[in-house]
This record gives sequence, structure tokens and C-alpha cells, in this order.
Amino acid sequence: MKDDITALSIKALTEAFDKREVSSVEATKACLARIKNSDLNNYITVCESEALSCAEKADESRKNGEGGPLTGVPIAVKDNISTEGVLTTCASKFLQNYVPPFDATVVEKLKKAGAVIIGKTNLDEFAMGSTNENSAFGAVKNVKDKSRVPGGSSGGSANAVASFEAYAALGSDTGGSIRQPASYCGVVGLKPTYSAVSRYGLVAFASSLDQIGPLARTTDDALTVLKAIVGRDSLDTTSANAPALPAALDGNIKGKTIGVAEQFLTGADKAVAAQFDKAIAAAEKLGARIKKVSISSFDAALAVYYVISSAEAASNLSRYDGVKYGMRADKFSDIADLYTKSRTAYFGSEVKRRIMIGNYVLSSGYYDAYYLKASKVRTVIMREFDAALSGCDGILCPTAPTVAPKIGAQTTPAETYLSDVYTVPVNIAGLPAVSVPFGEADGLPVGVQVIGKAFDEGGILNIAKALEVSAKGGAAC
Amino acid sequence: MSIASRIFSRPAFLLTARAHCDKIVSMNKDISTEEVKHIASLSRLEFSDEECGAMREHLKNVLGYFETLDGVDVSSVPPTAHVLSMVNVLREDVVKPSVDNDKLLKNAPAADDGAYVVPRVVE
Repeated sequence: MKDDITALSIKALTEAFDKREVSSVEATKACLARIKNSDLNNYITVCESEALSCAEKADESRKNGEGGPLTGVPIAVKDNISTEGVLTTCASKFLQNYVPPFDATVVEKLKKAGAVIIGKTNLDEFAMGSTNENSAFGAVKNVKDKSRVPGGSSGGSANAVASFEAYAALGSDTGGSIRQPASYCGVVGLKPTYSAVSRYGLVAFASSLDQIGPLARTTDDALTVLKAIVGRDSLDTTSANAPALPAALDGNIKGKTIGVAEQFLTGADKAVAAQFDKAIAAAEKLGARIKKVSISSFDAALAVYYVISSAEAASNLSRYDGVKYGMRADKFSDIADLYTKSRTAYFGSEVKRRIMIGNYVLSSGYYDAYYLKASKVRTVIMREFDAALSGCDGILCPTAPTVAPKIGAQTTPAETYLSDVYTVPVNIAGLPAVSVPFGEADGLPVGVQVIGKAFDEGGILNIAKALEVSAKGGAAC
Repeated sequence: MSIASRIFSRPAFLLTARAHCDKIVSMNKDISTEEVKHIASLSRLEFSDEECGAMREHLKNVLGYFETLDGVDVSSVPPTAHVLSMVNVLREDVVKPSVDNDKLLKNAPAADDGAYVVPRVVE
């Protein structure tokens, strides 16, 4: 029993806690031991002493009959989410010494729920990337095949869950950064509806697209973590009231209608398309009806995403000026030079590329042609999703066009952007989506994505559960 | 025959990832080195000649790809800045405790007497 502690689901772990078979301190120690012996590079900071002291408190709570579904459960937090007193680097040289003076709202909520924050996970710098190779703290090795990437930007979070170095993790998703690594690592990753989870304390990348969400080994666990972090926050005025979430998932999709859009197969490689076909077949076998839907402006979605996210990023990252926090260049002639020298010295290449694109599309003479146009195409895409979803309970598609690529694969940055082609339309429309593992292709995990109506996290998780059970060879009820 | 192929008029949409990539990266837009330097100055970034060249290539590629936006009819479509139909969220103008200044200044690269230290700004 003790050997397998780290491989348990949160559900099984908390049952073991209740039966006094295992303590939070034991579970935490087991995760810490795995992390210590790991060469995957999932973590930038490990919070050993804080985690153990929190675990002790959790065990005390449980002894006193208190505690909930996350009490004493070791959870990892992506290193672009602020943790008071704990280094928060965003995997950037710029913030290599930054210690936030406050907790993000989601971290405060997890702590209130009694969760054990075990460490801060590796990511692509400032969440910009799809492979976790853009980290100033080194690449992450996919646990399923160490010559491959875990995906990005929440690569460390997804891989930590997949490699049993945490029971769940928080990630952030702007264009697919939770779902795509979930697919590459074989775990569940959910991006909530825009505004369902407070962004206070999430280091901003693209403010109209960013959302924090859970990565876990099962859909049940993802729901448990989601429940702890949703809700309106006065510190994030873009946040909304918590969506209605079911007490539990039953995985029953009999009579449900699942939309499939042909555009979401563009660029999928044969092995991934084959697994997706099996997912559709599984859904039908479970009593769902498959309906053809269409997102006609799909081809423009990647462009919309890169215009808007780069523009918003260029604005958001203008705060890194060497004055208030982070690193400062050693030599500079005047204030403008201070900004330029600091930013040039401490930002990574991908961050610089995105800032340049962003400022280009916002600059005088180009704003209308790019940013304004992209914002209008955004409206068109939102309307197409609304129309497609009005006739079904969810849209099913592959999460990514391929399985995890090799570390150091020779691609240009523009080519890497293509791995997000099925995930970005969802952020543009602000809808919720979940990636659930569905088998393998060439021995590597493949995820399928369920996209839902706004605030229907419960509905999409239920469809995902049905597929999850089917993929594991079981029959859903 | 697979279910998906029953539903769709394939194989038209099954472009391989490689072919899709090639289609996109072949789109280019012309940008001058001067423009690159101008944007760099707006971004408060500086590049060596070699880096400038590489950035120019990247911008050409990506901006060329943005031409896919032209394929969508946006006449009489309003822009979206925020996906929810939310308007300004207000609160009562009541003073609440904020963060302690000393805590904030701990992260400053240079601080003195409760303020951030910067090079002289005003002559």
C-alpha cells in the first residue's frame, strides 16, 4: 500500500486518509521523495518544510473530524501563480529573485481547503510556448518518453501529475496551455469558462484569454479541484459567480448530442485521427448521438489568437522595467536605457518575439488592420461556436494534431504555434474545455477535447468521464 | 469505414501536420529593418544586427500568416474586447487596508527612504 501512495487518485487518497490507512505527512513525504529522485525537471521550487508543516496541520484537522475533499492533498502550482513568501519566477530570468508579497486568490482558496502546496512547477517563460522548452530553468522531460516534451506552457504541472510528483496541479491556459500538455502527458486538463476562476495573482499574459484550471489524473479529481477554485472575486472584476457544478460525475451520456466539426481535423496526423475515430465510436456506443457541426472561420482562429494574445502580452509585459521588482541591468545611461537594457538582458527570445508582434499590431497605422480586425473576427468565431453549441451538448475534437514531439525538434517558432490549432479557438470564445486521455498513438498519450457552452464545466466533465471510463476498458453506466 | 469519414467529405480536410505547416510558413509579408528597429524601440528592446535579421524573418512569417484574417467577412460585426456581457464593476469608495509598503519595496532592485530609486528623470 505504502509504495503506491503517490499513484492514488485524490478520491482514493482522501478515502485512505479517512480510514487512517495513510496520513497526509506520509503522502507528502512520498511525493517529496519522488521529486528528489526525479530527473524530469518538473519543479522550479519545492516547498519542503512548508508542505510538511501544512500536512501535519491537515492530519490534525482530520483527527478533529474537520477537513474536506482536498485536506492534506499535495498539489503543485504553476510558477506564474503568486505564492506569498515563495519564489514565483514565471520561468524567466527577469523574475528569478521575485518573491510575491501576496497569495493568488486560487492559492488562498486551496490553502483554506487544507491542500498542501508542494511546489512551483516549471513552465514556458511567462506562459508563452507549447513545449516548456522556453524556460530559463531548463526543459522538462515527458515522463512517458524522456526524449520528448511534456507540452506547454503548463508542462511542469501536467508532467508532475503524470509522474506522481503531485496529486493534482494548477495550470494556466491562454491558448491551450493546460489542455495540450494534458494531452501529451496523458492526464486530464480543464480550462474553465473565462471568468469562472479569479485571475488575481496569476501573472498576466493575455488578460482576455487567461484562465487558471486544474490538471489531475481523473475527471473526478479535476472536478474536486475546480470546485475549490471557482467563484467571484472582488479583486478580479472580470470574475463571475461560480458555475453550478454537479455533486459527482456519473459518466452517463445516453441521449446526449456530441458535435463534431470537420475543421477540427485539419492537420491531424494519422495516428491521432485514428484515436479520435475510436473516441467517436465509443461515444456512440455509450448512447450519444453524433452531429455534424461547423466552425467556418476555424482557419482564421490561430491568427486571431496570435494578434490578440501578443498585443495583450506586449501591454502586460511593459510592467517589467527594472524598477519595481525583478532584475535590473547593471549599466544604463538614463531611465529609458534602464528599461531597454533590463528587458533585453533578462527576457527570453520567445517573449521578445511576442512583444514585438504585439507592439507591431498595436502600433499607429496597423491597429485597424490587425488588432481591430482580429477583435471583429473574434466576434464571428464566438457566434459560430454559439450556433454550433446550440444544437449539441458539447463539441468533440482531438486536443492536439500530434503526440508529444521530441525535445529540440527542429521547428521554427511559427511552426510550433500550430500545435495549438485545436485549443486556441476555445480561448477566443471564452468557453470551457477539457482534455481527457483517450488511448495512445505510437505508444504515446493522445487526448481528446470536449468543448462546452459557457459555464457548463459539469456537462463537459461528464462527457469526458464517459470517454475516460471507455478508454480504460470499462463500461460506463 | 470509420465513423468520422462517414460524417465528413474527407480526405480534403486531412492535410497532414507537415503540409499545413508548409502552407502557413510560405506566407510572408515584407517588413523593413527600419520598421523592426522602430518596433524594438517601442518595446524597449535592443537587438544586434544578427538578432534584428532573425526578428525580421519571424515578423515577416507571422504577419504574413495574419493575412488569413482577410478571409473573414467582418462588415457590420462589432469587435469583442471582453467575452462576457459585463460592464464596469464598481464598489463603494471606502478605504480598505492595502499592502504594507515595506513589503512591496523588498522586491525593488533599488529602494531608499520608502521609494524606488531610478536615474534622474527630470532635468
